[in-house]
Amino acid sequence: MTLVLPAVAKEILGDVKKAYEETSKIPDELLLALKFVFGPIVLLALDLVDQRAVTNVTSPSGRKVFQVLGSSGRLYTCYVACLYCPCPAFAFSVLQRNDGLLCKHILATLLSEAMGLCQTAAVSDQQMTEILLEKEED
Amino acid sequence: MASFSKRKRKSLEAACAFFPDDTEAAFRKARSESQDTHSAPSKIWQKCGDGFQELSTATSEGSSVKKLSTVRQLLPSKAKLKCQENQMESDFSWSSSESDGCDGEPSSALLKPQTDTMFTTRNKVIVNSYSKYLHMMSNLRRDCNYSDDEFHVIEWDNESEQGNEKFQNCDSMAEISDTDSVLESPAAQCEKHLPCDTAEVNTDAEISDYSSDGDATLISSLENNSEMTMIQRRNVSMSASDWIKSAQALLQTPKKQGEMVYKTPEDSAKKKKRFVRGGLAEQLNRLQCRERSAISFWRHQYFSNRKDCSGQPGVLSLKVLKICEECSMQIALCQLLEKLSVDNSLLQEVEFKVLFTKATASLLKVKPGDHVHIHPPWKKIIIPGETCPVIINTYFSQKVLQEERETAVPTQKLVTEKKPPPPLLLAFNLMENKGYLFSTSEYQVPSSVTGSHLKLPDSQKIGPVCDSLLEAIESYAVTGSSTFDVKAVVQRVYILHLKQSPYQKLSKHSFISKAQASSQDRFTDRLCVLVQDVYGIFSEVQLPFSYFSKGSLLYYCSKWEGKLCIFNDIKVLQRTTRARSTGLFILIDNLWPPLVPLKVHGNSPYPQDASMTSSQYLYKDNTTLSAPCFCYILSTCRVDDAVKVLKDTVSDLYLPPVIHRLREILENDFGNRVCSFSAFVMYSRLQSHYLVQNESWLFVTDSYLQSSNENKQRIPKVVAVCVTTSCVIDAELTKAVQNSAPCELLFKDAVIDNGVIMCVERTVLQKETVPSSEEIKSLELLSGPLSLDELGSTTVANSICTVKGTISGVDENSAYSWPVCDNCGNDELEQAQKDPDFLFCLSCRRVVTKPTVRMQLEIFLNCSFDSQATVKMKLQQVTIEMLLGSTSSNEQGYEVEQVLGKELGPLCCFVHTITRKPALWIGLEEINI
Repeated sequence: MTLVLPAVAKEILGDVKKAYEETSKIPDELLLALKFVFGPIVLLALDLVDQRAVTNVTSPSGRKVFQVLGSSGRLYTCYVACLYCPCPAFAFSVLQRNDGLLCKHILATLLSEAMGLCQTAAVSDQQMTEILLEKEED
Repeated sequence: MASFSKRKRKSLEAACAFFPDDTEAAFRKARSESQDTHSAPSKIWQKCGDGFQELSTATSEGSSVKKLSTVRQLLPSKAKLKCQENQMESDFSWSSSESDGCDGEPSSALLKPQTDTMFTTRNKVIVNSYSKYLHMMSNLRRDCNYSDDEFHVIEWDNESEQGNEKFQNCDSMAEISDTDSVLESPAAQCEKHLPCDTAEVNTDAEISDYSSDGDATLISSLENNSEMTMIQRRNVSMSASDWIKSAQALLQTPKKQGEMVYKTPEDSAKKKKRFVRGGLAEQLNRLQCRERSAISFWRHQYFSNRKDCSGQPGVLSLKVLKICEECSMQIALCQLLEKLSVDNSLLQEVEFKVLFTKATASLLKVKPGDHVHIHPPWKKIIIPGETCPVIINTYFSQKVLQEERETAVPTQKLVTEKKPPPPLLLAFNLMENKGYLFSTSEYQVPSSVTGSHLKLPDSQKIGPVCDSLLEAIESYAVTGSSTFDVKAVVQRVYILHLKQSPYQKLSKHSFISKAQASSQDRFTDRLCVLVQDVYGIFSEVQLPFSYFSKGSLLYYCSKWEGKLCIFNDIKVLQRTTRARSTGLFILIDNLWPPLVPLKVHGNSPYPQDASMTSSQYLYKDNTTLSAPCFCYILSTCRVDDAVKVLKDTVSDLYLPPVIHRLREILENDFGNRVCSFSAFVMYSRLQSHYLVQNESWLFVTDSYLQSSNENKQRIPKVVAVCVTTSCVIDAELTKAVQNSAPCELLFKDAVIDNGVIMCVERTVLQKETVPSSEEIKSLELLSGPLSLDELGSTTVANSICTVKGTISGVDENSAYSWPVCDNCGNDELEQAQKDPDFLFCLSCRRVVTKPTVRMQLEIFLNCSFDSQATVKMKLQQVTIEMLLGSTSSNEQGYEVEQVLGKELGPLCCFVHTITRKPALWIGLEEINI
């Protein structure tokens, strides 16, 4: 058997995107499906979406990342084509325990992207480099 | 304290009134219980049951209301009783903890009173109150003829106690009560239902728990009159024994606790959090609560009566074939057992992959071969490319216990295959199936990525290309590819005078070095095109230098302008806005709104054959559209062939420059907009603008201005056009303008700023190659002497005019003459060494025998329009010679008086300065037209 969960997750996210595009709402059934697949983090991720905590950051060179403002006030950088988040939950739940597919920040990014609820910001290439290299702000 | 003592008295009342002789024995019994607690509960409960049996008899025999009220305190309905009234239950409660088998703590509590003999009796009373209570219950019948004296005994006992003793006693009580609350977790569950917060109440609740099954009749009977007793007696005797059974059954609390484990896992993750009102999180939270209670309810139902639900509609009856685990989720490959149970149209497949959450999986403990029922609402998901559908939302799942099943299945240890963690590569990239992203849905992978592009013949290269600039740019950003191809209509072609660096960085730090960098910056001219896509989006594409080697601006204008072209290997340099690039947006505004309907982003593909029948996707009224507020600056990576004309016909989207008459431009207020016109350059003051940071001026006219009536004021015969340094005029054109005036030029997209026509960065000056018939006519008209405005009080600076007047003075300081080489015009002449009478030209390296004399003279004129005005005019050599030629000269020079009073003009002159205050002062320079 190939991996089923990522395929299911993709399918549901696709449905979310479609539903939101058509009605600007997500039906109850889909929300529950999301919750079934991703578990309790969905609630937290949706809260992040509600708070418009995800920013799509682009630079003139064409690079693109997402920054998620976590509930603690920390900014987490998530990537367009890679499931990675520097948050502790990701390190523990996803990498170490292999309990979940992703953390709430990545899910919030995917959901915001699907629903088109990302904020946008343009930065210089220099700043993008700093973001990508995870340079700590002094 | 008061409450404690009162409670104590009550307790003693109960204890000592009925069992004065019992205390000793009861204490002993309690001690033995501490050693052998397992035998105790059953005895006690039996005794308790006996008590109830006897109790009803006692009631029938006319027991006192007081006693009944004591018993009534045991009623579940009496939960509202005050703490002090519950003293007896308190003792009862402690003892009942023994019946849970938790004997450790009570025994230690029991030992404590023994250490101090002073309190022995009292402690005995407390410790054994449960057994005494049972006795009391049994004695309710026996002691129907109790006396008041016995109550006095209690009183006495109570009074005999000292304050200190009382306090000690209360302490030990509290200890016991504490033990109670710790040990009796099931009772604690009920605690919240009771008004009293002391632990004794728990017991009451517990008792009520036990008695609630069959004892309602018993207890209520106690409240009734004696007429009912005979019937009740039978009921009671039956219910009491039932009660014991049920109590014993329910005492198995661990099972009850076990059920709590099955609560949905969200409980632990639940936080008291406030969500955004009306937000998705709130929506889900509400749903989750509902779902959770539904699951608990369903599970309760399922565990209480395990019934076979296979026949119910919507229930999936499945046989588990294989199980594996992915990210704590169990995935079971199942086979559908009963097709009829579900709607056949819904489930054509036989095999499914069923997902179980961790909680459900741990509850079901399914293994291959098991039969599972999944109750609705499950959800089926079909994954493209997968043969069997996936079932999710399987909270309502039930493993079917199959007694009839052959027991051949070996009871092997359940080993679930654990799948490796999914790759961190974004497997569900939403962009993949982003239908709207590429409206043509035939987006070509950029050639730089595939590498095969260059080998393809030209005909194949022009494949389907994204028709939206924004989407191409977006996809370029998303896919991370280096370049993209896009098709758009070329609106304008022009040359920009740019810094060597292709674009200005947006970095914050870039401005720091700007000052020093500007001096070193090398400017280059780049061929640029302003393009617009079918969605109305504009972009400026900068093309490589190599384009100049192939043709002039004029060539590219005629080749590309208005055509739909494909731009290959495009990359984004910069996104610019109205504020950043005013000049660009002035031009864009002039091209807005488009005259043809625009396509709307996110809808069906643009009709390729321009038959815009499906116009619902198009903006019908472009006037309502707001002008663009941003524009991407693009560049190409191709050295050549970056632009390909797709269709040789002019696109409907193209808005050619509207050629106005100069007069229209002057008469109408164009505001801060662009205008295009065709005019003859009469005179130019062009600077070599790469070196000198001054603007140049062109003086233009057309046949309409020339033939305009003199009476019409404010319309000059010649118009000055300012050419800023950012406007690029190629050398050929400069030469043409300077040498062959008047020459006809087409000014494309000049800007009018404060009434002055300006040629700016995107203005194109173009020599009219084929004059129109109208212009030929005007050319004939212009073949005669050009007419200029006369110098007057309304003349403005930077204009040309004619002047007439009498010489009123000569500026002697500026009047001088000097010899120059008659051959080369060089004024660097030296006295020839061989012959001091002759001069030697340093540049020609020869002796100048007849040097040309150059003269400079500035005169003051008295003009008829204003006698007070000072008009100073620098004369040209020819005029000076003409003036002086008529006068005699001597070795020292010319006499000023000979020039004064002479009539001059009309002469053409350039007005370089006009000062009106304190008095009118005009600085002129004679020019040749």
